[in-house]
Amino acid sequence: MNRKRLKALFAAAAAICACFVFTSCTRAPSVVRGQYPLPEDAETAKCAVGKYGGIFVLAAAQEPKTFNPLMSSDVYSSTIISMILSPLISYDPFTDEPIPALAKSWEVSDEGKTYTFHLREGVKFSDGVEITADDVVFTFDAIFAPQLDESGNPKLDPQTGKPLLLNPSRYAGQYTIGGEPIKYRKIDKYTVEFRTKKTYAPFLIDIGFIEILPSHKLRPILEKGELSQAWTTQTAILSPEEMVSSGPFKIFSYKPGERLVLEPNPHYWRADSAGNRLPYIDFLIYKFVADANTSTILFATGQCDAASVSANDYAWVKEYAETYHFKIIERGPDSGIFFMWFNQNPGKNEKGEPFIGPHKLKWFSNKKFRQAVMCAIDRGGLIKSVWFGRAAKLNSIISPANKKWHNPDVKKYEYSPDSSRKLFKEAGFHYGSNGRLYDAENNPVEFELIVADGSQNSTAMSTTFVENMRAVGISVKMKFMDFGALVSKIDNSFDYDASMMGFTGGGDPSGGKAIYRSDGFLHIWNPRQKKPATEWERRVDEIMDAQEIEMDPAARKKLIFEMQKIFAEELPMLYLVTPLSYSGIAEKWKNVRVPPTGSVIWNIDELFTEDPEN
Amino acid sequence: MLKFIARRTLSLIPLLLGISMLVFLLMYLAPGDFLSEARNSKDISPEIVKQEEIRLGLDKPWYIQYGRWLNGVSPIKTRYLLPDSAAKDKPVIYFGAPDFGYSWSYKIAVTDLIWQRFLPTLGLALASTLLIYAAAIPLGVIAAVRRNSLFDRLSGFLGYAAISIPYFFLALLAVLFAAVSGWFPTGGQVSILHDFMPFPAQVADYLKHLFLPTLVLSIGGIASMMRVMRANFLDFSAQEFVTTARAKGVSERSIMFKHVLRNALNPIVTSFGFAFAGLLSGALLVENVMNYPGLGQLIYSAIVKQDQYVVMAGVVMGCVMLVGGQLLADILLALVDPRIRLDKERVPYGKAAAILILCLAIVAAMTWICESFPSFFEALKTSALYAGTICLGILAILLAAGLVWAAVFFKKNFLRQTLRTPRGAIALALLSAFYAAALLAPFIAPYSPTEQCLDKSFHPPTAIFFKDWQLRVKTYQNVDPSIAKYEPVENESLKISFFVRDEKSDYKIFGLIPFKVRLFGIEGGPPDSRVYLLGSDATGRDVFSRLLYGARVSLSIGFVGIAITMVIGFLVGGLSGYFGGAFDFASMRIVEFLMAIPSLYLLLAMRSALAPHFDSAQMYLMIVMILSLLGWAGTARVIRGMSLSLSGSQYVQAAKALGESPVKIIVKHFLPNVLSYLIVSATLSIPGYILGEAALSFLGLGIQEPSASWGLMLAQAQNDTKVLMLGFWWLLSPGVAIFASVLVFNMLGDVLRDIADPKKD
Repeated sequence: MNRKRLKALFAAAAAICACFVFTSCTRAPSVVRGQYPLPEDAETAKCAVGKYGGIFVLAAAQEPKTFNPLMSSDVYSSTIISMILSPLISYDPFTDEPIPALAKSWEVSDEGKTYTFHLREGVKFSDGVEITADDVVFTFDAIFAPQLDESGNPKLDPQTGKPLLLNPSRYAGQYTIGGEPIKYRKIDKYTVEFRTKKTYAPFLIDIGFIEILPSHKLRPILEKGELSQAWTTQTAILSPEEMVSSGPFKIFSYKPGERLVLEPNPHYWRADSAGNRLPYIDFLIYKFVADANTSTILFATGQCDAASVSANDYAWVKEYAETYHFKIIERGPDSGIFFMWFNQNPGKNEKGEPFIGPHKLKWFSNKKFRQAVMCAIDRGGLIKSVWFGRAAKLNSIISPANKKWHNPDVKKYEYSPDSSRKLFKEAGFHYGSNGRLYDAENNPVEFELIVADGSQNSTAMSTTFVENMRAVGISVKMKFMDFGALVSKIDNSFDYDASMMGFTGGGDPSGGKAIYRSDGFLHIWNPRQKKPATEWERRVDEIMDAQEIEMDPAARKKLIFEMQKIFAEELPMLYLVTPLSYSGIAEKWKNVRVPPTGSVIWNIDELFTEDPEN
Repeated sequence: MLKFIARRTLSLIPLLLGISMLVFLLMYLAPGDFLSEARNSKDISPEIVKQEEIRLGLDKPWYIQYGRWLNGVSPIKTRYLLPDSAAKDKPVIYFGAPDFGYSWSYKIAVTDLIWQRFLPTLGLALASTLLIYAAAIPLGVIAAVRRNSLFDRLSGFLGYAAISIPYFFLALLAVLFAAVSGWFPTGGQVSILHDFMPFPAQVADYLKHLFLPTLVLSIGGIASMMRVMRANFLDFSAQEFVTTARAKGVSERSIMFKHVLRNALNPIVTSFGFAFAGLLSGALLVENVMNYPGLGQLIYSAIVKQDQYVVMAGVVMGCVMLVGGQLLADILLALVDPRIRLDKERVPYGKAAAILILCLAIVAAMTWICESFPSFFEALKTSALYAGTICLGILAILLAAGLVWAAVFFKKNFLRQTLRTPRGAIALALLSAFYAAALLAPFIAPYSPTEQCLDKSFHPPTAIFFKDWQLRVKTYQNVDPSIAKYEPVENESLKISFFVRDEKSDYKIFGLIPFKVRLFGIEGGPPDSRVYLLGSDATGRDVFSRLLYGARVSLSIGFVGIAITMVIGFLVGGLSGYFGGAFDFASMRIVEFLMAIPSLYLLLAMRSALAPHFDSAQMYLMIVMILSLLGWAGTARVIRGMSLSLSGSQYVQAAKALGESPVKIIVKHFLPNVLSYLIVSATLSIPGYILGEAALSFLGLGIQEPSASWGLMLAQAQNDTKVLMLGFWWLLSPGVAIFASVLVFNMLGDVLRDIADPKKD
């Protein structure tokens, strides 16, 4: 190789290096502020006055599946929708009380059956069109719009006789109270009234679930019957300006698999005490990554601004806090519950064979058996080894994270193989000379545990469970399967002995109806019962009915506490452990107020940084 | 040339039909569907799930769903295959642009989605190919020119190491490196602020993100290409024209670069197509581990989420690229080598049309049968199961016989020569040690692979020292349980005893005689004292013991696998070479079919379709079956070629004339002739099985807890980020084990090849 070529090579290498250096000096385009006057009814935020500018980056392991609030059925889509659309009322994560959003005030009358909401006057969508009662009415029209047949009559479901909905969503069920859809009407341009058939205690919480949709954009689409295909991810890719916003942000650009960029809504209805319209942040960027591990790594290496850090990762992430200037806040136990359960379904399949063997059903439906198994699970050891002490034992069907509803005073089961053996003997089981457990008919006690593969936590819990059971003479076979296969077994064919999984939690206990009630489809040990199989299940059904119409918060709490006591005594679900959760946020963000539960950036519109250039 | 391209393109159609139908069926057989998650979510009522099911067409049987998909993809469409709501105002037959459907999870057209993800993958594959050529050619030439120098030996050794290291292990290390050093991004195609950058910075940003994945993906390729280059170069330097040139006094530089290099480059350049196609499937694992948003990552997550149409389009795409790569290779070869004429073969239009019609007829017949006799499919499944069991039995007998024969043959023809070369001797010794350890795992391992010790999670390897004529192990104390930091206790240690009795051991020799003795362990001492040669995992299980038990899976899988592959490959190849004609045609089409499938995708689809019917032990067998069912095609093709030339030989003609039965001829005359080839190729393909099992288990689709396998153990190190970040390095030991065993097999295979074919090198 001659000199000339060498030189050329060096030049090329230098150019590449220069490019690498170049990547670090980038600047975002500037955002125009204050071009529209504040409406009279704008809310004044009680936060410190901040400074405009800065980019807030979040790493998300899941992409939004839709931007249409009616179609959204997952928490990732809903979180992003809540950034661009506002509901009538919202709730304060510190007090769990409803607070004003698009509605500035409301009155409750007629024994809690009529609600009147007063909207903020002069508040506009991001395209400058005013938000009025018509938009509220339209939102509920869209929820309850029926499917029409050729002659224009509503189509009915042949099985239930109820009208079929054009846009089936969870809201239709949520806003059907006492068997009837809620009634809504416009009183004047800024007033709407809702009426329910019967008293329904969590109404004010529930009404905040649905964001108010822009009637001027979406009514024509609803009339064409195409609302369910509106505001998809494709809309966000091709024409983000179509998706007008009433929340703090609007969509700037969306590239699936890469990122979603949000910019401030110039018509947002909140301002600080100095009259600056919120939010302070110039851009909010969601970067999409393959899994939660990656987003944790990005946060720990200073490449994104906030993240939830799992108990598993906390141990190493905290080591990077000083280098990359972030803080991690402990948020207490996770609001979800993780549990195992035995199949107690007494039914038969199409061929007339019972779903599970009669002798097994006898074990599984024996309360003492379940309690004995519970006593043999070494949850403390698991917490120490797998989570390095950063997890809590679960004792109730409502996680301790849900401070408002969790009952700390329920029956607790401490790890003790000896008392477990004692309980087994009391329940009519006995031990053979080989140390194995046998039932009264001399069947060896053995069962299969099916677990959805994937999560490392469920792997650790199930392998430990198998070892714990071996210690008390029970042989457990473990079988991993895809989540789909698992669901079809526990929900459809019912041919399994025991399984293990988790539910997300939090919020009002009414949200768990499907789990608690004997006719619920998530009453997983024996779902969709025609009538309650046991006395205690009947009592739980009663409680769930009673708490719904109970307007006195204290009395309602008492009912929910009683339900938790029953569950802890009967143990249809054997609670395992719930890891502690942690939230991390970069130090440069000010106005951060961390609520007891929920997102650490719930007040993202108030966050600002002193040094937006960095 | 054009004719050739047209023919190849046409032959793609039946291939794609077959593969798409197979994959569609497999996806249908996999339990659950896209809505499984929604079904079990407490926010979504069953009524919505039902309506959604109808909207996606999931309430229809698979053949109707497939028909609809086919109708969408084909440019000629019929309204009979449209859903009722769309069919109204369409003519019976009409033309339309191919439509690959709609991604359920991304809610956009599959074509858009694939296109978005295709470019990053293409970029990655192109960059890797370029890097491979740019690095391998000069390295190979230098190694050849300075033959037997230090450089040659070193690069030879490193080359071995590089082809033996699993992609995903390397990717794991690269991610760790990126995270710890902070020099490179830990994933993604561009950085977060990419949109706000000036153009040159955007380019640099792409390059920066491309760098590590490219490196990981090309290292294996560089090594093998370098070896080929070196061998080629040496071959040509020994040719007569080189001697002539030297005699004429041409300068050495000119000889090397003008005469030898140009000739040696030919085969390398033409293998461009193959290399490129191979990289595409390698990209799946690398993209997943390194979080590079390409096609591989998309398809993997689509298979997991059962996003049907994305999987279909991805598989079709993968096939087209694979076949396209081979086509490119053929064309390049024809361009460089004037002796090859692509158009020489006559275009079998009739045959192609026949296959096409046959495929369509099968689809139609299946549809009709399933429609008219709903129970047919169930019956088919059951009978397939029985037939499968019987075939398995026969196969097992054949396998046993084959293995014994091969062993005897090996001893007679190879053993002594192998032992004579130092590399061969080392490889054989190491292999024997590995297998002995795996076989005697219950005796050598100090603990059972599932035995936990919750007090000692992530315990580092215990230090062992020699004192007072005793082997002693230090005791440790967990000084900071919040990060599992252990420190040895001063002046405290425990004696290691040999031949310890362990009542908890449930090992039985040959499954009969209980044997409760372990090679070593701690006797006495506090109840939870342990000796951890390789540390412990999250629940305090002994990594060394799990590694030994894992070796049973990982090492035997190769043997069982190649046994199946070789037997099927020999039988099919031998028979089709012997008979020719229709049998030959049919079996070679199957071979081509299998070779054109992007195997990792098919593997994933098959695994998820079959998984629910098997538990962990059976899963092991199933993985072997899947791997070998996909693997026999290559062997069959070579054997066919060999037997084709053998059947022309005089002694075979004579045997035929004497009326010997075909089976006898094949076993007596063909087998001894091809056995050398079979043994060499078996040895060289064992690493493929070890890596295949590891990759599957690594993706969570292979051996399951609480059983142990090397891939599964590595997966735990990847899923639990703290393992790497807090430096629990001993959990990476399965990666080293995979690497070592693959390396040894590659070494042995090389030695055997030299013995069987002394002309080379």
